[in-house]
Amino acid sequence: MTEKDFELAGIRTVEEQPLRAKRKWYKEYPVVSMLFLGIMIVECFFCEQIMTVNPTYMDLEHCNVAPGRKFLFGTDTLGRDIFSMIWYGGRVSLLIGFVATAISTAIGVLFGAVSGVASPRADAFLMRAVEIVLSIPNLLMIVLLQAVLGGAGVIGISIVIGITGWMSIAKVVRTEVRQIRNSEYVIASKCMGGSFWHILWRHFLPNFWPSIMFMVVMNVRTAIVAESTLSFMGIGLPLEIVSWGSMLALSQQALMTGSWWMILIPGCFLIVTLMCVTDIGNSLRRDSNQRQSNL
Amino acid sequence: MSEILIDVQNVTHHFKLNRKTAICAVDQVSFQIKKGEILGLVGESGAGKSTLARCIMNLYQPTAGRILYKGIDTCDRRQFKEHKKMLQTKRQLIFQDSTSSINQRMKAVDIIAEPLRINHVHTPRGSARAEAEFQLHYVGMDAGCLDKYPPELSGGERQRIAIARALSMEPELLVADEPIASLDVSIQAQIINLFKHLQKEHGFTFLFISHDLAMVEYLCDRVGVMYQGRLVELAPTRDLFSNPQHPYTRTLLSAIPLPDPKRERNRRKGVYDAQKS
Amino acid sequence: MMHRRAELLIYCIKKILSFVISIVFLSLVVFYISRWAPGDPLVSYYGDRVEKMSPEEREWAEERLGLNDPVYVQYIRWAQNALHGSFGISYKYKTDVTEVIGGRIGNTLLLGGIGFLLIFLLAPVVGILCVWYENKLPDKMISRVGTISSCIPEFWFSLVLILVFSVIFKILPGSGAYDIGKSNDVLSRIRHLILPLAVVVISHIWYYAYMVRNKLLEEVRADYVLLAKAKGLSRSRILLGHCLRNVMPSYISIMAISIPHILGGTYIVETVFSYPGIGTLAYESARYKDYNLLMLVCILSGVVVIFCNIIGQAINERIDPRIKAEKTGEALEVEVL
Repeated sequence: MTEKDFELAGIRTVEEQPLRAKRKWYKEYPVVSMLFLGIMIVECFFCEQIMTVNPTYMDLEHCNVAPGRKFLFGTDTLGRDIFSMIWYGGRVSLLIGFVATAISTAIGVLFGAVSGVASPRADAFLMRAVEIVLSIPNLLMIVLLQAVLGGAGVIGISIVIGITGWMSIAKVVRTEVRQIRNSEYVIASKCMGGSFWHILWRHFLPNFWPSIMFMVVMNVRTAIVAESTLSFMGIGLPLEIVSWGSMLALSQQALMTGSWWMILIPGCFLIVTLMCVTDIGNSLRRDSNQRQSNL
Repeated sequence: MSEILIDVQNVTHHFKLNRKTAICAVDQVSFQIKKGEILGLVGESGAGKSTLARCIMNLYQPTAGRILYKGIDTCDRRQFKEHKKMLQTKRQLIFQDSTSSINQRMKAVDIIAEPLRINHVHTPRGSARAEAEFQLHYVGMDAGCLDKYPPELSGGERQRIAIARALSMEPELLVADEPIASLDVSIQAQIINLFKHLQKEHGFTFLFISHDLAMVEYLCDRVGVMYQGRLVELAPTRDLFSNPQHPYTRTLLSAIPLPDPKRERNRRKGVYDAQKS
Repeated sequence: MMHRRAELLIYCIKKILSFVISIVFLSLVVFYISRWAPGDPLVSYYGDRVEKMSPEEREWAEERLGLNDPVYVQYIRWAQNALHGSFGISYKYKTDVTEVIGGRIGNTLLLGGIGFLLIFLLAPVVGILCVWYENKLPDKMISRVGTISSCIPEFWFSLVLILVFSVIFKILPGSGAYDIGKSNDVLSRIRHLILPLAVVVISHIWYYAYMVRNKLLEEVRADYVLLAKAKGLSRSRILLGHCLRNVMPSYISIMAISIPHILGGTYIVETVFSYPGIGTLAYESARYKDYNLLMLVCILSGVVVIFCNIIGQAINERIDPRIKAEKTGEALEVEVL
């Protein structure tokens, strides 16, 4: 037929197909949330420049002042300026969120990995023990741990929240590790003398990181909520340490006097932050519903 | 040439299925490999070749028997611990499936340099990257592949990376567990030639496990035949292929297809039944 | 037939055994923690009198209560008493702790029970609505509002509701379970329940509705839906009769596990509304270091958690034997309290 003597069977040229029409870069990231959260973090970080008044200064002549020109967001029942407290306290709240998440992620990853590589019996025991310990309401844990750590401080409460919130991460890590622990590259690494830490860091972590990413981000949210709830109830941070939670601890008095700004303003900042975090977390979840609905 | 590198003595390995039944994967196997030799190990699937390889590499603890590497009993925990570092650097393993034996989330350079990082070896070529580049060049690949991820490479290239990783420690013993089984025929030939070339240059001892008789005949100095966990025959390649002793070996050899289709069709193929003989 | 019955019996015995072991372990942990916790344990028996005691009296009291014994001996004694129903005396209320809890537990069950029921019934409705209008305006609106509602901390939501409905508009009461002196007035109780219930339901419902929505969305993409459509079934028949039926079992098992989760949510709501339930009690006992009471509350809550977990696992294993204990708890995040 042709001049060619032979042609390799099955060979064919593959035309370079253009990738799916590239989506606008800003549609792949939750830009609005990231921007908001970024602004919030920056402002809290540089709160010294923004604050108009010392947030811990109790101006007893101006208690319960509604928002106005002098006090942008009003003052609380102790006469502290809420506008300054928002930024000053936001620093504490965000810090607790991140530190607690770091702690819970570290514990979760470590525990999950150990449980994942352990023998089935040890694994079952570990998981069971954890389930039982975590069925104790956190309240007792928190009271005890705070006592052990010597009073409630920022770091203390981060540790407390961190130690009580790693379970779901540990479970996911464990399942993932069980799946890949017998894959050949792990065996090869072991054979070359790779230690547990080396394998965890080099092989396990890159593999399960995408699936716990969402939970890690959500843990930031849970930690911030936990701190504010505890501080609000009076078993978290004391009133002197300003955070969004401890600002709300005065809300019982605020309810009596009907001073809405003391409840609404810190709460709004809290919720906007939480929503940004949630939005970022949701964007990390893989979109599984690509197919057309049959309905 | 005559120095014995590895001495396998009566190695037996059982897999426990449940409390009552156990499968005997390797049964009373003994052989020796001399330094600088290429030993082929053939046999059908489930004959215990891979289990034996893993026993040699200390991935499985044999149920009975001893494996001596340069006179060190590697099955003994104390002796193994004493020489752990030497054993882990001087013996290297290549797996069958390169897609699963290298981590898909690591770059080629990190894969090749992994053993160097683990053992904190200072290489003559300076940085780990330079070493990886050298090894990659050594197995016939371009330095441009260094920063690629495994899914971007072809099967043959991935297997070459796995080989480069094993070679980066300059091993004395290389165990290859069916390294060509998952590759195309044309790439199989490339890899086998690569092995032959590397062995000549490098001089390592090579345990080559395969079920491809033609490749074994081409590559190996001596060949062992395994059947149902036992080593039924072990002989120099030429002797084994010209004058097989064991009936199973004969059956196995009769399964090699002939290049002439007419003769191949008319040929009688043997079936070996262990119970009968 | 005999064989299957025997199998079922063994299964039940296994479950009960694991329940008992869990509870023993739980009580052990709680007991050790409470003994380890700061504060004078004598206070929980004698109250303020401890401060006026002479050293000899103290010695005598400690001897009498066995506080000098090693902790495990104390635990065994405590467990023996506990089996007879006596858990010690509440320091704050000066009565038996079982009595204190007995007076409160009804209120918590009322709030938690109705809240759970509402969530259980409403979550599928919301989920179905979302699937019905998938990617159309109603779905997007519900998802948005749901995400926001799940972001609002319960205590703050309670505060806002109190501020709006009882401080500004003064239509609904903001605290307590009933008007003073009207503990038998049903109408008064209902009026007090509305706000707490609203918080419990709204802050939890999206979590479950979202789960139903996601499962249904997966289900709707199955091939049998196409077949049903080809047969000429209506959309509502397919969605309610086929898809929902497939989703229901896993929904029920997850709801079984969620009971403690929702109950924990009511704890916070209770404290904000000063609703006389277990949550308020737990909070008070933690603040006043009333350990006997706190221990009983913890053990009680723990028992509920373990019980619901086992029930949920059992349901799951019944539905799908492939699932072992692995995946049941995964859907839940651990939240404070």
